[in-house]
Amino acid sequence: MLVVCAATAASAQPVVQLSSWQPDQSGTGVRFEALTPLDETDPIQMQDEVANGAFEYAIDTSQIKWVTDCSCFRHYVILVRTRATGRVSRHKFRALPSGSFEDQYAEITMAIRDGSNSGSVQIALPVASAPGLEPKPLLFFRHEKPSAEAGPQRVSLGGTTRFQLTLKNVAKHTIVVVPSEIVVRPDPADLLLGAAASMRDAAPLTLAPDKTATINLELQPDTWRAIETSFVPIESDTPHGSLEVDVPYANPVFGNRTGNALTSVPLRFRPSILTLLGALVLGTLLGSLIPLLGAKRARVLTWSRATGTAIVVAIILELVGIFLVANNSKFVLFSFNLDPWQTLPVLLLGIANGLLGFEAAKKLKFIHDKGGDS
Amino acid sequence: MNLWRAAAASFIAFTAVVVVHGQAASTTRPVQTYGAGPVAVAIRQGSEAVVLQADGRAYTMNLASGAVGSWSYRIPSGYQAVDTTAGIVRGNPVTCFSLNSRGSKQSGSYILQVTDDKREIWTYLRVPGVYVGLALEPARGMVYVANSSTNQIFGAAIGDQHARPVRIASIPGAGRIGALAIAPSTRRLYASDMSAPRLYTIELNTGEVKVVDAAVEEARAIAWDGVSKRLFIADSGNEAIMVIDPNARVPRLERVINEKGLRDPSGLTVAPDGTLWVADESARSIFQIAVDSRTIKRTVRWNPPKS
Repeated sequence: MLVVCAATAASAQPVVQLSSWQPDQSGTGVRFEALTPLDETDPIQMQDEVANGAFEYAIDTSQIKWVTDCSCFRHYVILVRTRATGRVSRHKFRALPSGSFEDQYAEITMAIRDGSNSGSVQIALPVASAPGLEPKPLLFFRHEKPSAEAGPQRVSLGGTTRFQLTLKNVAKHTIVVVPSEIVVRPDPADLLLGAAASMRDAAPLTLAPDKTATINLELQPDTWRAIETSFVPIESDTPHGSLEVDVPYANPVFGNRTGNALTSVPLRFRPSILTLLGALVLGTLLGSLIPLLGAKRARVLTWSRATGTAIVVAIILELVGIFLVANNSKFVLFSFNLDPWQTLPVLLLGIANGLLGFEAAKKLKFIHDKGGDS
Repeated sequence: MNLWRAAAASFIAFTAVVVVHGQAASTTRPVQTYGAGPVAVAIRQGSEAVVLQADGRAYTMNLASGAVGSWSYRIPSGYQAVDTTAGIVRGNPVTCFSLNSRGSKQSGSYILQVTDDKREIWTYLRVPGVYVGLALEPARGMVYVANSSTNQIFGAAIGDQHARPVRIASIPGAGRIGALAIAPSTRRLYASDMSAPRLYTIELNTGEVKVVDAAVEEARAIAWDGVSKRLFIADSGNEAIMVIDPNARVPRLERVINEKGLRDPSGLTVAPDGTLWVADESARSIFQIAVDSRTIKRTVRWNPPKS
């Protein structure tokens, strides 16, 4: 065991030693370097004493920070009162980490001695690996939906869309603090009129190890921009944009050892059922007008019955598409993976059915029969 | 009519449904950032200083009023700025930062020069290591940086996009060189040692290195006072500001101040009026210190707007 001493030039101050922490033989661990002790004149509330009562001590880890200059965490402060003299000294240590390990409290042996007394005690000090060597971030986003259902987040073309994200503190030993400032950024930037994130629990939020917190998100799309973005059909699992969610977090033990949990939520605009129905009916009407214009003689009654049939068939096909896509299927048209929840494919479906008129019902029957035979 | 029907039938015929399972699309990645205490301070022009925060934001500060100025800059993500220096070079204000990459996305270290209009000049530092202290020599248009891993000092030309850093000095016996300061009149560069009670004097004209013993604990910043010809040292280990004449026959270290509020002095500069400005990361404050009276003249609570 390597022991580091906070030695003194003037022997009146006690010597404080901190053992190194080495969890295994791999070289991973923390070595403590002592600085010259200083006299403490402020009144200090001592926390404990060594076994024989010769020294009282208090541990101050409130100012520990990573400093690049020394590639170390500093300063661990141990205040020692020598019972015999009543003198209080401040012993500062730097911690030099090596290797990659999780933030945790390590068992350290602290020995204190002066000319006539000595004593030792086991203390727990927070230790962490150097920035960039953390084995994993402290906070993770956990998706609400099971992975099979996860995909782009559906956002209505108008109004407000609300959804939630779950944050989890994955550290085994460390409390994580999440301040209230959650930053959300749409990509492209003009995709949304407004985007806001809030925590369900009061901020600043303290997350105990293995605990979760919920972030509520509210999105207000720019309707015209959303229609423009989503009008051209793309594959049903391809997002129209994304929302960057940036949650700053901090390990309260190491003052400046903070981090950001970032996630990119893919967004896909989805029109309402009424919009889809309108597009379907409009498409069917448009489609049915084309053969009417080409015909030499047109009968309104025949046309209206054919159009009515086409609308019903189009609605059935649309419902089938929606049902199948809802069950993790894809709607493939001309080798394109389309989404029955998008306006243009629905409009085209309506036009096709309008073109077919009465034939649409026969084709539907043909598809049904073929499906039944197989 | 048959043509239309054929077209429509073809349209429907191409419609098919294929069952394919979806997958999660979100990702989580960590980005390390840092707290917001001031870590370095440097005179930029006249009574204006640049203050670098630990989180990589830099702001100008009016030394007369203590108010945050209009110029600000944010270090690009993925890099950590350790030190800053500033001055007027060829008539233009320039602010320099020593940058080290934080993660695997970016790699390497740089001297980043930023002009008033936020134009950036990146000088790549080829020798690997952690680069810390910076010093500016406006008359020659040079900036110097210390590599604390190899204990070498490099110089690079200001304003040259293609400048190659030149090794100025190598200090093999040093523990871990840190802060730099320059005495322009003598072209002497001073370097502190983070892990040994020593300072180093480097003659820029000859490259000669001289060791000066100074019983400092953690010299996080040093600043040269051209009037008194002395070197001020921010000693965060002793929680004090020290001063030394490194060119004296027997250099003697003196304590300027060790007020209680000064717990972690990390940045230091000498203002034109002779007062010291000290950035204290833990206190999140900047202190103006009157050297003659050895007192804190003013405390500026450092809390600039984040925008």
